[in-house]
Amino acid sequence: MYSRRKFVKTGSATLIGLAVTAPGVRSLTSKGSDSETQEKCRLAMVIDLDRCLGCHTCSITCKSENGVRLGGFRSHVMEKEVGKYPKVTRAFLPRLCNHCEKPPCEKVCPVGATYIREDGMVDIDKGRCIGCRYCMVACPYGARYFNPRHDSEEAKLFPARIFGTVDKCNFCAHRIDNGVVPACVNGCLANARIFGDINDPESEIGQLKNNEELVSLLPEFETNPNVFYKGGHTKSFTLKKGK
Amino acid sequence: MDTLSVNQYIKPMLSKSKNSKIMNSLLAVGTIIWLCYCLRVLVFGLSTFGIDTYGATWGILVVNTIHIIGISHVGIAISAAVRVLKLDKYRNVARIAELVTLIALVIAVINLLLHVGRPDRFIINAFLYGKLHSPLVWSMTVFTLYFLTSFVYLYLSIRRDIYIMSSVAPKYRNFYKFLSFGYQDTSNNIERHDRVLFWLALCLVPIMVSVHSVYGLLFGTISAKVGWHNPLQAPYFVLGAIVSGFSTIIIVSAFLRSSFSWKNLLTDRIFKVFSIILAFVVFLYLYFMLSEHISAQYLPTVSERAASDALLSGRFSLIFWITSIVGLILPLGYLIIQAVRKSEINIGLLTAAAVLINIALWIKRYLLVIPTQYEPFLEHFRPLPVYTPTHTEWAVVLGSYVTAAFIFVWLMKLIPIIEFPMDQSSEIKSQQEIKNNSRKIITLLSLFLGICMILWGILTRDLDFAPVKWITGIIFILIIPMSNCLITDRILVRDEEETTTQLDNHEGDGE
Repeated sequence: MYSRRKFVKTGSATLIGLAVTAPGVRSLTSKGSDSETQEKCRLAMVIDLDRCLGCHTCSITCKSENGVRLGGFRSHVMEKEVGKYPKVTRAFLPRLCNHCEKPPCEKVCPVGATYIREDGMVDIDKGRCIGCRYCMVACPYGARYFNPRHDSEEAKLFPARIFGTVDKCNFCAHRIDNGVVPACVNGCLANARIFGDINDPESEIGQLKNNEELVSLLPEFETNPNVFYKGGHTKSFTLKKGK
Repeated sequence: MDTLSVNQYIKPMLSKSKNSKIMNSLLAVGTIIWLCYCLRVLVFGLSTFGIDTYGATWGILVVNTIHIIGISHVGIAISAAVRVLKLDKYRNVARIAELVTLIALVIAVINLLLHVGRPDRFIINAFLYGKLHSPLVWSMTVFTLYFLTSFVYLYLSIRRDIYIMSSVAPKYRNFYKFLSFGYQDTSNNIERHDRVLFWLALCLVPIMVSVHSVYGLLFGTISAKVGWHNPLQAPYFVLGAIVSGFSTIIIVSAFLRSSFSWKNLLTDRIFKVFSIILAFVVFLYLYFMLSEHISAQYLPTVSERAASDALLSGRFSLIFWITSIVGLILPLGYLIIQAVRKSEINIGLLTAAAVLINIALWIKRYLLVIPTQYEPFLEHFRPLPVYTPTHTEWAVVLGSYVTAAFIFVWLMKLIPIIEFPMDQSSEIKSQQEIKNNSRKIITLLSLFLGICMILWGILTRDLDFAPVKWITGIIFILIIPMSNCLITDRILVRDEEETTTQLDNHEGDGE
């Protein structure tokens, strides 16, 4: 039988051991330095708001490509009247997952279902997702939706729509893995969406990054989104007041 | 052992009144309805809930889970305080509190299971693929630790009573003998149990605080929702848990006192002290609430302030003010008056105040989880739908309490709800015993393996199966108290005559 003094001694030694080893371990298991990741391929999208017509073709092509459920959106277009009469205009803001470099959704996912691919795209392993929706509350952009319905007929028609799991835009991973651009980029009438490796200075998106002023949504969250906007009225879409 | 005095302690087991039968039947029906609703959720998925992708993605099941885990807080806290501080006058309420804790934890897990979209994967995936950086994995870990430690604590504290029951209720002697797992009512054994329980109680206090802190951090680490990212969230949750836990213990104890005429066991003094503690923690809770809203009103970013505005003067203001005044301020006033008055405590009014406080705490948790989901940082593409809980959600929420009550009543019939005092047993032997050395070996081995497994899990936290490793480590460490108490010493001189006399004397006592 342990005496109390012995117990306290052993306990303290263990705690000190843990405290000493834990910080060192972090550096051993971390996945490469920042400079290494910067050189890697980083898939991104630039949306030219001055070109966007607000036709919602992107939403429709996305829905048909990915079998998105009714009431859910991987990609959609927000609309707003900006300015006061007579100088009034209608502004559009196409929205999709921002594929952040530091995604809060990935950080909170308890089972590692949300993960960052080598190319910087944030995807969901639907076979692992438990549907806790913690990622949905953690995403400041509201980019995720949930498939609540359990319907076997629906599952046959749309195999990608797995019930009880969270879904979001994955840049049409099945297309880009085969060298085809995402469906929304392909369908955009006004060529407002430019997609590619933003770290490649030769690419169209790389040149846009170097030569144009690009903004991302809610930069104060420091999530470093990989979806950028050019021109338009992005700031008018941020929430000003709850009421 | 005096039959009359034993019967007093096991009144719920002996009770065969018409009222209790009606109540048990109603609770059983309520539990069956609840199970049907749970099945409905499992079959049809979360489309049976009022939650939506845009708007409230977390509904009242999350609210209920937090509330129930809060209720579980105080059970072990009271028991630990009684044991560590040797507050023998409050010993009678310790077992009730421990049972409330364990039942609340089981019901909370079921609520959580129904809240997720894939209950079939929930626990398995969380253990196999859990990532240490997610607050949900912290909560899963401390929750498991809390549940297992509480279970071990309850079992070891109840072992002697189960052993005594084997002689009191001859009909179920084998059952109780089996449950007591070779317990010997010797002075050495009692002392060993006391020592182990003391250490367990001491360990349980920080574990219990960590459980509720982690639940606070579950919200406190989310900056995407206004009003959640609050450094006070963890202590706020612990405080809320103490408030709801104490009010629940008062309600349950008052019910048992009136049902079984236990005025001498659950004394006025216990209620008086509990009412003073409740008044103090409600006051602290109101203080935290005030501090939270004052600081929110001075926030420079208007969107962060939106959640506070929605409560104070916006869409949720009516419910907020009614809850604060009727559910917290008025009962607090009564509790303070009750505390300063020297007259006898009015249990009825105290219970009413505790019920109001308990309901208020549930609503306060609703006001934490739901309103912020209507205040997104980015404007949405359509007006956010209003979250209206469906009848399935309400049934699951209300049914949770009915089922908890049913399990409690059922357990009351099975185990003594009030700890037998030491002088209740005349069987305590003080024979010479041969110390069992295997206890020491198992303790050292379990401690070593437990620490190794936990460290292995933490070191490989980015890999799959890491949570399984640290949970296994926790289980190994929990073997220490179990093995210390379960491994018996060999008695050199056995008083056969005394044991058989006891059994003969109490033949038929349990009838």
